[in-house]
Amino acid sequence: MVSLDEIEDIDDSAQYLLALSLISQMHADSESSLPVLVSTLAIDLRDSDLGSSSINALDTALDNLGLEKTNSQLITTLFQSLEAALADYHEAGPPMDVTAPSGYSISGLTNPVNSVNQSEVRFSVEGAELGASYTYSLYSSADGPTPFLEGSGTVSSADFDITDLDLSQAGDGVIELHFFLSDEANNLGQTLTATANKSSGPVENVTISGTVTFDRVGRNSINGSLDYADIRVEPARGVRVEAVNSSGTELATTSTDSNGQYSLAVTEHTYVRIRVRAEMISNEAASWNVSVKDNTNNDALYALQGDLFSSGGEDSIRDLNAESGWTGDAYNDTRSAAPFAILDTVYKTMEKFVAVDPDVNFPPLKIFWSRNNNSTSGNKNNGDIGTSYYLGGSFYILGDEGADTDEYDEHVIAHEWGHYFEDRLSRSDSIGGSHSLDDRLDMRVAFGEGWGNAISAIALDDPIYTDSSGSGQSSGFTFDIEENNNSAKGWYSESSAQSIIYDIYDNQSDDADTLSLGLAPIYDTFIASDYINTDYLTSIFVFLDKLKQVIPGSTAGIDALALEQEISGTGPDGIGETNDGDIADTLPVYKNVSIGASVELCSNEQHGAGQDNHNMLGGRDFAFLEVASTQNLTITASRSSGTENSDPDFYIFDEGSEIVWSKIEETDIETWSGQLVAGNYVIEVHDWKVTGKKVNDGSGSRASCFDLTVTSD
Amino acid sequence: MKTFKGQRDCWLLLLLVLVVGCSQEGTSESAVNPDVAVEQVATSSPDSFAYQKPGASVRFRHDFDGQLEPGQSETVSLLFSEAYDAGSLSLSFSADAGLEYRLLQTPVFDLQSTAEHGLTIDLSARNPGRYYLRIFAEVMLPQGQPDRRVFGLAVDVGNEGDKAEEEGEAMAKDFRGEELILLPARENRKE
Repeated sequence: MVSLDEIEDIDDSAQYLLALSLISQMHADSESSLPVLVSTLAIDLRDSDLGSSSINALDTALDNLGLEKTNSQLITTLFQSLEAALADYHEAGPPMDVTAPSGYSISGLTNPVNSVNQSEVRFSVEGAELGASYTYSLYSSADGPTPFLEGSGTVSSADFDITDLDLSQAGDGVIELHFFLSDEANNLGQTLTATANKSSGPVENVTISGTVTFDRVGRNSINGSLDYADIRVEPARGVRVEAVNSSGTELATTSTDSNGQYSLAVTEHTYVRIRVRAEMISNEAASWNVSVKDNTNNDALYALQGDLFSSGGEDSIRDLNAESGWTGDAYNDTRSAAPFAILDTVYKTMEKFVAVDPDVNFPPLKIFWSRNNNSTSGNKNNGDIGTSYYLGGSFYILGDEGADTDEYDEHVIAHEWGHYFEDRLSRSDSIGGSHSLDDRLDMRVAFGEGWGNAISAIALDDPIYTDSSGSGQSSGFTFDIEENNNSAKGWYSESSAQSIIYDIYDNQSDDADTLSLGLAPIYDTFIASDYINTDYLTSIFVFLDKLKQVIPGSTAGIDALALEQEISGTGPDGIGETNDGDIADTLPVYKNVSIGASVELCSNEQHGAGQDNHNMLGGRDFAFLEVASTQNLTITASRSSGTENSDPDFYIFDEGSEIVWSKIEETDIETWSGQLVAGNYVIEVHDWKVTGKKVNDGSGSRASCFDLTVTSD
Repeated sequence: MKTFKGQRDCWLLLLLVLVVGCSQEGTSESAVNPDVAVEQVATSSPDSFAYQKPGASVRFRHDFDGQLEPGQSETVSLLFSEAYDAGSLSLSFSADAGLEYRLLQTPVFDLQSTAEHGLTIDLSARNPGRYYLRIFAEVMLPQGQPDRRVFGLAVDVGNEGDKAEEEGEAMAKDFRGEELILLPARENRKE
């Protein structure tokens, strides 16, 4: 026979599943007189075609039992029995749930309750039945048998917390918690209890201390790749640490020391978590404010966050580590370490400067990093930053896994910091743009980029510049900043600038390098007021001229380094320079022009024009103008020779600041009239069809010269 | 170092004539100087006046307007210019899952050529969304030292203009109202 042997609750939400047991007596060949369970059929009572599902189930069962389906008597018996069982089931209605919730527990009731934590009391529930209702009641020994606080809700997760219970109205004494579950059939579970003590008297502080660290992925100095076999745990130095309560309110704050250690005093028995903000703020003699934010997420600040815990009644230690997220073949976990790796490179760079100026005041610096920051140029909010770069007090860092990430490329970070330093603490007239070691660049760009490369080696005390890229960050490139045999040598070469500056700093004597002067004279040069206020544009000439004033005893050594890089010009204007970079028109570096006279300046695309090559040597030419008294002037640049249909434009700079950009659309001539106050000016002339070119037509042939004439009106 | 970029290839001339316009963002001179008569193309570099990190002396531009329809295939011209006298330029590619690409030429170029190096590529994707094509440029100099630079090309399929914001990371605000991205920590506790 077939019997409705058992109704199983598969789970709370599936009481419609029936388990029908086939008992062995139905087996015609059975030799046993005892009923034996030989198969179980699962029948879905929601099925609108119970006959069909039953047939299918029985069919399968018969196959499993090896019974003959042609045994019509048996089949008939089976169906009759099943139909009877189903009819009985439907007549009886759904099975009655008589099982009360069980197996749950409560823990972690705030204890003791004091004047600080009394409005944020909490406890945890584990193993609760889904869909059940929970009810809690809180009693106080001071208030009698009536609960002073009650609450209820529906269980949506087996484990959950009841938080922010306000016990401020309860009297001091023993607090008792009662908690139970009830299910939909009104079966009541066991009432559990927990107790705590409440005292509204004074509370004590406890100390939470610890060390904040981050994973630093190593660099391969041979090929520039990252080395995930060399992940070191390093202290997160100078970062802000906060103790925050369960609602995120800041309770105490400090900064980690040079070992990544912190110490915070918080009220005893208070729920807190340690949060480490990706920012370094110092208001000491040496001051700074550096943060790492996500440009693809509303410029939100990154913060490392620990678990919520009770501060307890004794001092405790909480160490937090920001992990790289590397899981062996990819960043499959959150890249928590990245913002802190970037910050620490900045920290070690600033350390170098604090060592030579303990009172240095670094203006605020915002660094934007995101795993979305990629090599496409476009909307920075989408992460389309093009490359890692500095501009206007901020820098953007690549984070595109498998293509180009820079958070662990310390030379890249320090290089961009060098631009920040030059821009915010000194002076940079660089016009920026794409560049490489082999380029012959506008002198402003060459010096700025050479400085960036040099300071990266200085900051890290590692002259091998590395930059990783590619699949798994497994490729990249390197170059040696100590190298003096550069393919491009001269006042227009970033390679030359980096070689000279690093040789001035380092302790290693090589080739013409006999100097070991450290960072101090370099720093003193950069921040000297007459360097910052020079009439000339920033270049290796201005730098070396001022450096020799700062350390006159090293003049011969400095000149030797310059000559090794084929730089012979002297003074801030590079007078006497003989290296023209294969474009004769580039010399002299500054052509003097006076009121009532003319001088010829040229614009040449020989070293590259078009497609961001606005910054190459020869594209822009420079004149120096002295104005003895304030007066109205007319300045004209008129094509005198070379490629026709030119579009001359010019800038007038006052101590590097652009005060005029004359760019009237007129073929072969540009004219500006206006007043210049007494002083010295640099006039930069260029053919816009050279410097503004965005398409490389492959000719490289534009070369025009212009008569620059200054007349008094 | 080259002193002149000389004659260009004939096919490249034709290609440039066909280039499609796309203005450049930022405060570069091209954005503000009205008297520019140059062909408008998209360049893949950040603000031209930003202080960029070092890399291979290779510039990249293309004629792709950034938009595709689902299932549509488009042939895109990629153009690379450089300032080297000798050596080779090799390009390799990787694409986000779902973005299909097919190279129509071998992406290796002799740097003795003075012209821009052109490459055509077919792009397509079945499903809407934003995809990226990564382009790895490796310059191998005669002395054997590689220089590298990475470029990217964004491909918006359908009406997906902007990439979704950071996903999967917890957010909070501090008491000053500053937004925070909460990063998980590995935490050790000692009493």
